[in-house]
Amino acid sequence: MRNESIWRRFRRYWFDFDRFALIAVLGFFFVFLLTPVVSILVVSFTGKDVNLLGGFLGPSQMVELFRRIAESASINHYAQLVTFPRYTRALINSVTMGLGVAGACVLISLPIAYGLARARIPGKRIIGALCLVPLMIPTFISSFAFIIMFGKTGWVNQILYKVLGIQEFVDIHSVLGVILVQVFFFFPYALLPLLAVFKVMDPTLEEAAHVLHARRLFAFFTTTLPMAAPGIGAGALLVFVVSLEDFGTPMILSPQRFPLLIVEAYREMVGYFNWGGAATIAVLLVLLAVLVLIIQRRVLGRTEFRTITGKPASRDLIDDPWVCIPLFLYSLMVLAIPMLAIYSTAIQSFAKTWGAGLLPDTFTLENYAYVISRSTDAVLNSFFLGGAALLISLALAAIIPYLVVRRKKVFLDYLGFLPLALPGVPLGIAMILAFNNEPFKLTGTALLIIIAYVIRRMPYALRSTMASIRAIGADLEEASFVLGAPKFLSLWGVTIPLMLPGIFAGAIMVFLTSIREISATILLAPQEWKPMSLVIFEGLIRGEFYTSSAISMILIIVVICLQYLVFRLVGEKALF
Amino acid sequence: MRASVRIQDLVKRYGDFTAVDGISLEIEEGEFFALLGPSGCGKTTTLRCVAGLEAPSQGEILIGSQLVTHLPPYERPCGMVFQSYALFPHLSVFDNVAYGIRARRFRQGDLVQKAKVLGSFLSKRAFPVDDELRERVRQTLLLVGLDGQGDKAPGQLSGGMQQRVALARALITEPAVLLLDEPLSNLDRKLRLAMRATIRKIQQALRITAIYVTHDQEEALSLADRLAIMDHGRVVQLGTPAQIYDQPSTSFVADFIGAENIFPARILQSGPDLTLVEVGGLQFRAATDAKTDHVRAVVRPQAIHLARTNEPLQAENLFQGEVRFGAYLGVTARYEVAVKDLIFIVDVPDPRPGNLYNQGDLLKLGFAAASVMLLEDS
Repeated sequence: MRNESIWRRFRRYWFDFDRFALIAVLGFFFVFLLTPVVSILVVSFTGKDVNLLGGFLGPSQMVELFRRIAESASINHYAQLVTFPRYTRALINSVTMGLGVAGACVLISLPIAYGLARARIPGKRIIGALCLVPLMIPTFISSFAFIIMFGKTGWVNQILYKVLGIQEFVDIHSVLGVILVQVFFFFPYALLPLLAVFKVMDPTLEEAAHVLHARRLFAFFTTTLPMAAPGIGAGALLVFVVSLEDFGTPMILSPQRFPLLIVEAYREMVGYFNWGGAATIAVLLVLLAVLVLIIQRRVLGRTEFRTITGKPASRDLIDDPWVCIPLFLYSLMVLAIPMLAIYSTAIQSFAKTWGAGLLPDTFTLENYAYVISRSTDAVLNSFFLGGAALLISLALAAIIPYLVVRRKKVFLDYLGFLPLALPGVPLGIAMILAFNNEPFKLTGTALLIIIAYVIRRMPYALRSTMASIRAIGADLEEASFVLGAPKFLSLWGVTIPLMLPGIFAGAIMVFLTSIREISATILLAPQEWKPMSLVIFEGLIRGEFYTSSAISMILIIVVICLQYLVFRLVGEKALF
Repeated sequence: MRASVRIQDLVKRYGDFTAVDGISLEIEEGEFFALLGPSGCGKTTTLRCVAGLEAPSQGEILIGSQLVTHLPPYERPCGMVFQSYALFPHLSVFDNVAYGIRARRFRQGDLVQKAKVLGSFLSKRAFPVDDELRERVRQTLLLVGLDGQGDKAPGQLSGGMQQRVALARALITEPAVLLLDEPLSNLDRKLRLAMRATIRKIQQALRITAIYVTHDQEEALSLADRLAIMDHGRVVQLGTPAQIYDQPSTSFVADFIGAENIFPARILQSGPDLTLVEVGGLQFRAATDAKTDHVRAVVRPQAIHLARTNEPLQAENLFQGEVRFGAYLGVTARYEVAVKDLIFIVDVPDPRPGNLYNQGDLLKLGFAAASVMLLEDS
């Protein structure tokens, strides 16, 4: 029968396609994820560079590789963690600061989350949207904005001095400065899980507490807060990891006598060429991130936070002005700080000079003119690198969920989320260690930084597509088949249109997180491919504040516009 | 165009598990056929094999005179209504219903037509709907009582209306066979009754061959011309609703179609017209013969009569029992009456104050020998 043979051929083709896709994906993960991770592990023992991939070229190379590892392996670098006080302090500092920032973020987020989820506060939609803006701003820009505000000649300091007589409100180049920036720019990470639990929580429980004559505040602390514990935990863990991984803030504010792991890892790598030390700290950072992931899985595994859309009926919302107005004002106060930071960057970008004063002495467009004449390359580089990462992610994010959901290759799911445990600096170090030798020498090429972006942002791209492919359900495809639509038409008419928003959203997230990335970029980006983020960063380090602010504004506007597009495509769930 | 469906020795295995274990059915042209059984009995798998969504491990399926066993689903003349409705959420009601026609044009048309179909998913303006398609969708929506709802999104409709869209979508291509997979299980009772009537009326009007999968015996009995009761991947009994209701072949069937009183029984004395069995210390007289020793005695709740001890009651099987529990249901009242160790479920029709009993009442309980069925234990 003719039909039968076509159908069989067709199936064989798809079967082969699956196998081909699986091999390609596994190969990609092996070369660009597992090899770098194993490399930092090996180098943390050997102290010198080993050519892991080269070992696969042939038996003699493999023997040579093992000989090299065997003769230089030692635990010296790990011993240094204990014996070398700077390392020990860095570890303690990083962890305590992470915990502190996590705690502070949860505390300042609680009232905002409660207000947004459970009270009828004015301008709720706008406040909700503004709460997401801090997450979009790269920390090296927000840190610099804090210098504009709270630095020695900062305009906020000027106001405080003139109005209250306070000399220096806060030394921004200190631990406190780093903590302040992180708290005001990372608090949404704590806010969103809290918002989710408050929204799905049954308000009748709280009402029950009221009926039992509990005061509202008492009911909040005895009923609402304990039930929000999973959300608090999720948010705190997330903030902890983000704070640990944050490279921009400590680099820009460079707090004196306060070593942090992430900065030390970078210094060992770039400053002292101490590859063993850098690899050891990188391993430590990865282990910390893995530890947090395990806690997340174990403790919070059962709780799902993705049901952010589960809005309670409006009649359940608190109307009491004595609750709503303070919550509203408080939310505005917290949001004012990151907003003023953006405002400060914007003003700076139009300033000719800005000394000690509320506003610059003269305004000018020269900074933008300078940027347009000198830094168009950086903008184009950003778009090229981000765009290339987007395309590769698009392919992976289409194939991996297909293999996981439709072909039940569940382990790929775990593999795809592994990069969550790879902060930017360790990833950069791992990439250099793995691809620094012939014949797999990729360091100094645009390819390596592009792949680093892809790997680092894979979880975002995957989560978005995975969610949309899961939501489709096999019965829609089947309905299409039974209605007489062959495989191609079913893909075209049903599967692809339904998956597209999720895939696009994931890909745009990869793009916009890539163009604001700094920690892997600073280690991997070659001179001729410097993206915007690196140009801004170097400009700030060199003291080119005005032009850097102008590029920063371009970056911020691009990122915010793209983020808006993502929300339009899939709603707020794209953030996690 | 209508067609019969023949299923021959159908087997479907998933690894070690055999979902369908050698089923043969002949469904006639224009017949409404129901597959009834508990979940996991293989009824849905059988339906999916007919639709082409599962490839049979063994056996053949013919629709009309065409062997379809190895045809992909889109080349079979079937329409299907899914339990979940499976409406395309990104398409309007109109486009959902039009999907089958577009798919056919894509399959059978020339390159220009194929391109037009693909384009219609991209731009409504560049690829407008032609009059023929518009008219057919209008007719089909009218048939299911949804005229004028074409512009809505499926998500805007109620469950019952979504079900009608699913039905319209399955019917528009005038398939030879309509497959329905528990289509009413997501609706509330009142809507279910209304939709049941709608489905039956439409099937009658089109005289289309329909295969209907359900676990609801009432649904199957009231809708189908014939039905097959399935268990563990096999057909246990096949027949018209009346045949199955009156002469269940096994105690499983009897249980499944709602004969509540099913007791393990031992044969004391067997004859062609009268069999004496021992049931939990009682003796039943049954006007039937038993083929095997292991039987179950089955009495329907409606076949049992109750009377107070001072009232007369004539029956071949007469016992005395005590009311353990009563529930007034309007049309009937249901009682649990304990006789020694046995609990009888009894439905009393047309309950009135005169024949309402209370918990603890002592009653006479009787039923005819003809109403006792002795069924093979399954």
